[in-house]
Amino acid sequence: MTAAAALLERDVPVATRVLTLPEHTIEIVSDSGEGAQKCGQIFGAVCAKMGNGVWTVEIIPAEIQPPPRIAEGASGIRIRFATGPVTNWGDQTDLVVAFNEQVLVGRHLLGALASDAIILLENSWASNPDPDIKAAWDQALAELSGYGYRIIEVPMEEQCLTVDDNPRKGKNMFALGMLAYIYDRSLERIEEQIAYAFRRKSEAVYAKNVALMRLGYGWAAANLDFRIEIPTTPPQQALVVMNGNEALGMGALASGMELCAMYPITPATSVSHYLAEVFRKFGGILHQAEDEIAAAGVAIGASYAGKVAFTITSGPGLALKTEFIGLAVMAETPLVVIDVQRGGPSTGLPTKVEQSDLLAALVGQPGDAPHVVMAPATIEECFHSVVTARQIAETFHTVVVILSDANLSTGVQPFPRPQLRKEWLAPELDLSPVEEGRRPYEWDPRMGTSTRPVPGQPGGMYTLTGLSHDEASKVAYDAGIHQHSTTMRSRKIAVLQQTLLRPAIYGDHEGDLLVVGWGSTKGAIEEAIDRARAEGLHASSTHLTFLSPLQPGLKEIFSRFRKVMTVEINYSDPPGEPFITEENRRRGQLAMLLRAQTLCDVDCWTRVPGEPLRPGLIHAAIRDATIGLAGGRA
Amino acid sequence: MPSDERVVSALSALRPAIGRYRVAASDTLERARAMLAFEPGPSRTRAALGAFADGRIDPERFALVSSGADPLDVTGREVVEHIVELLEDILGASDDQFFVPVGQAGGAAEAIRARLAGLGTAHTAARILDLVKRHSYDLLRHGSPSDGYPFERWTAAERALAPPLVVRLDGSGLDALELAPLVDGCVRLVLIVDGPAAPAPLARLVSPGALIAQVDDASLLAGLAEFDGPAVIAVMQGQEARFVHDPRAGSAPWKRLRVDRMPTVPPRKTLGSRSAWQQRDDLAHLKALVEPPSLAHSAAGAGNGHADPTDRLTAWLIEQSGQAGVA
Repeated sequence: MTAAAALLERDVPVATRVLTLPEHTIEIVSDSGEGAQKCGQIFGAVCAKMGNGVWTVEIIPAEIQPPPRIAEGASGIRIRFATGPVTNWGDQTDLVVAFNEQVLVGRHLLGALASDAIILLENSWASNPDPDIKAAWDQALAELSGYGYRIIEVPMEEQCLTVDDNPRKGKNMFALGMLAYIYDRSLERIEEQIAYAFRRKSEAVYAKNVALMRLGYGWAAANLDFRIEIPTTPPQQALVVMNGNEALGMGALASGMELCAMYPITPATSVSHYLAEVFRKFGGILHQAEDEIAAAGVAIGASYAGKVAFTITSGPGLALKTEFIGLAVMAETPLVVIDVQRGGPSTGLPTKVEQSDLLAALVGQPGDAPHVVMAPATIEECFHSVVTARQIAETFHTVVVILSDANLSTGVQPFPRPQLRKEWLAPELDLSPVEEGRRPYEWDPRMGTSTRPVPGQPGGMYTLTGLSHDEASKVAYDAGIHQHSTTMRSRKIAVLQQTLLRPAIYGDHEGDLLVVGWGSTKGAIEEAIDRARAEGLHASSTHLTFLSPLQPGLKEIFSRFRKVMTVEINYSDPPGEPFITEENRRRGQLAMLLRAQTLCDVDCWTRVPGEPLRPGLIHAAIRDATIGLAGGRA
Repeated sequence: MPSDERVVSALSALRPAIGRYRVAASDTLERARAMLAFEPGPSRTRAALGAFADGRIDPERFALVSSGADPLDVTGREVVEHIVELLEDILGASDDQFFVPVGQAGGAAEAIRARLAGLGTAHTAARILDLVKRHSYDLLRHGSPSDGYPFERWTAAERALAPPLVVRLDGSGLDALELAPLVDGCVRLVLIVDGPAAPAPLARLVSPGALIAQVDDASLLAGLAEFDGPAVIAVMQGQEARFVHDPRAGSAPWKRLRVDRMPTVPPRKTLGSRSAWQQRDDLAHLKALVEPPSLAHSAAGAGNGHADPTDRLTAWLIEQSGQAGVA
C-alpha cells in the first residue's frame, strides 16, 4: 500500500467531488520567511515531472523583510499548471493557500484572485489573544465575504504544532501536503523533491518536513470535500525544470564561457550563485568584482586575453557599465552582457519585472557604439540565447546584450533537456604567428570585421585603446580615420542584420491588428491573441528577438495590418491623460524604436504594474485596439 | 624497455621533461584533429549558433561571415591527416623513444641529432599546421612533416620544449665538443657511459647557464625537473673526475662548480679521439674553473705585476687595508 493510499484510507469524506479541469492556477502566500516559495517550487517541479505544463512566478515583496501581517508584504508564489504547455502566469488564481488573512487581502486588492477562488486560510489568527489581530481578522473576513470566494479555514498552526514547536517552519510543508491531496500528486515524487530541496540539511530536517507534508495530506483527505484533477501527459522526452537565471547560467556553461564577472544585484544575482556552484565542479571563474564597472572591466580583460567572457547585471548596473561597454565596442572585444531587467529608474523596484532597459541597452552609450541586443522570450530561450550570443560576439568582435527580466529570472518552466553540442564551445585559441604586416584592425571593408590578435600570438602585439585608432591600433584623431573606423563598426551590425530572418507571425499574415512584443511577454501575448481570434477578431502577433539590429521585413509586415501596436512592460502616456497630446505623448520603448526604424504609425499598450502582464488584460487591450478597424483598411 | 638500471632510472627522472614534450605534441595533435573535424558551412554554423537562432538567423549567410577558419583544401587535408598519423605514432610510442643506444663505432652526436630530428616532428607539425591554416604551406618550400627537423633549425621556443634523451655510449666515444651545439634551450642529455672515458670530458661544456655534471649514479637527476636550462649529465663508472656545475648555485664559476673527485694520475694515453694532452688540458680547465680568485696573488702583484693601473691601485689598497690573502 502506498503512503498516499494509507493516508486516504484513514478518514475520507463520503461526498468528495472530483473536478477535472484542463488547467488551474494556485498561489501560496505568506509573510516573508515562512517558506511559501519553497512549497510552490516543490509543487511546481513535481507537476512538471508528472507531465503537466507549468509556469511559476515568485511573488516577492519590494522589501527584503517587510513587517509581518501586512497586505503589501505578501510573499509567495503562483503556479499555473495545465494538461498542455503553459507559457505565462495567467490571469487570476483559482486556489490560494494563505498563511494569514492580511497577505490574502493584499492579493485580493491586486485583483489576483478569481471571483470563485477557493481559499485555504490559516485560522489561528481568529483566536489570537491580541485584540488588534483578532479585529483585523474579523474585518478582513467581512471584507472578503462580500465576494464569491469559498474560504476554508484550516488549523495549520494547530496541526503543525503536533510535529514542530515552531509552526512558522512547518506550515509550508503542511500546505504542500494539502495541495498534494487536492491535485492527487505522487507522494513519492514529492518526497524525492523534498529530499532535493533539503539536500544540504540533515536527515532529521528531511524527516520532519516529510512528516509535516503527510500531516497536511491527511488533514485535507479527512476534511476537504473536493479534489481537482489536472490530467497529466507523460513527457515524451527528457525534460529539465529550472528558472530563467539558472538557464542563463547553464547556457553560459554550455557555450564554453569560462568567466563571469559580476557584482550582486537583484534580480540577477542568482545566476552567479548557480555558476559559483557549477564552475567549482566543471571549471571556470566566477569573479565578484568590487563594483559593476570593475565587473565589466574584468570581463573585457578576459575576452581580450582570448576567453569570451560575460558580465551579468540589472538596470542600475547596466547604467554603471555604460562606459566599459563603449570600450568593448571601440576595442572590438567580444563581450556578452546579460541584463536581468527590473523596475526602474534608479533602484526602482528591485524584485519586480519591467522591460524598461531597452533603450538604455540600445543607445545608452555616449558616442556611436553599435552593438547587438537580443531578448529571450522563455526560460528555455534563456539557455539557448547565451550560446547564440557568444557566437555572435565572437564572430563580429562586438558586444551582445541579452535582455532577460525578473519574470523569466524567477519563473520556473520545464523544457526539453538541451543536447549539448561541441560546436557551441569557443574555438581553440589560435596562437599561430600573425602574418607579417597584418594589422590588428585591418577591417574587411565588405564585412566590417577585423582580425583579433590575442596576447601570446607572435607578431600580434598591439596597444589596445579606447581612443580612436587606425588599423594598426595607433591613436589617430584624423577625421578620415574616425569616419572609416566608425563605419566599419557599424557595418558589422548591418552585416549581422543581413543574416537575420524575418520574424514569425503568430496568426494570420494580414488582418486588423498586429501586436508586437519582445522578451518575456510572449506567452501572455500569444494567449491573448488566441482568445481574441476565438472571438473572431483579426489579430496576430509577432515577437522580436533581435532588437539591434532589428530583424528584416518589419515595414512590409506592418503594412499588411490596419494597426500595429506594441505590448510592453514599460511606461507610456495613456492617450487622453491630462496634457498628453499626439505630439508630446511618450510611447513604449519598442514602439519608439519601431516608429523610428519603419516610419510606421506604431501604437503601444504598456503597463508597469510590477508584475508580469496578464493575458486577460492584453486581450482587453486588443479588443479596444480593434474597435472600428474592421471593414476597411486604414 | 632498456634493461640497464641506469637507463631506467634516468628515464624515470626525466619523466617531467618527457611529459612536457608529450603535452606539447598532444596539443598539436588536438589542433590537427580539430582542423580535420571542422566542417565549415551552414550545417556547422547552424549547430554552433544553437537552437535560439533556429528560424531567426540564416546559417548559410552567417557562415559566409563566420568562416574565419577557412576550409582545408585537398592538399591541406592530406598534410594534416599525415601530421595526425605522425603525432599519434609519437604519442603512442613508449618512453624508449627517448633512449638512444650508441654502438661501439661511436657517433654519439650524430645519433642524438638524428633522434632529435625525428622527435622534432612534433615541432614541425605545429609549424606546418599554422602554414596550412594560413593557406601558405608549400611542400617544396617547407618540406614534409615526416622529413625530420634538424635541431639547428629549431626556434628558441622549440628548443625550450626539446625532448630529453638518455644516451648510452662507450666512454671512448664521448666527445663533449661534438655535443656543444646542442647545449641550448631545455635540452637534457643524460649520458650513460660504459667503460673508461677521458677524466673530464664534459669540462669543456661548462658555461654559466648550463647544468653540466659527471656523476656516479642518476640520483642528481631528481633535481633536474626544477632546472630551467640545458643540461648534460654523464653517469660514469670509472675513475674519471666527478663534478657538478649548477648555474643555480651562484654567480661565479667557482661557486657554481663543485668537484667531488679529481683523478690523481694524469692521463698518458690517447682515448678515442682525445689525445693525452687534451685530456690533461680538460682536467686543468676544470681545476681552473673551480679555483676561486686569490686576493693574495693580486696583492703580490701590486705595483709591478699588473699592467692595468686600476688593478695596481686595487691591489695596493687591499694590501694597505690588511686584507691581502683573505679569500
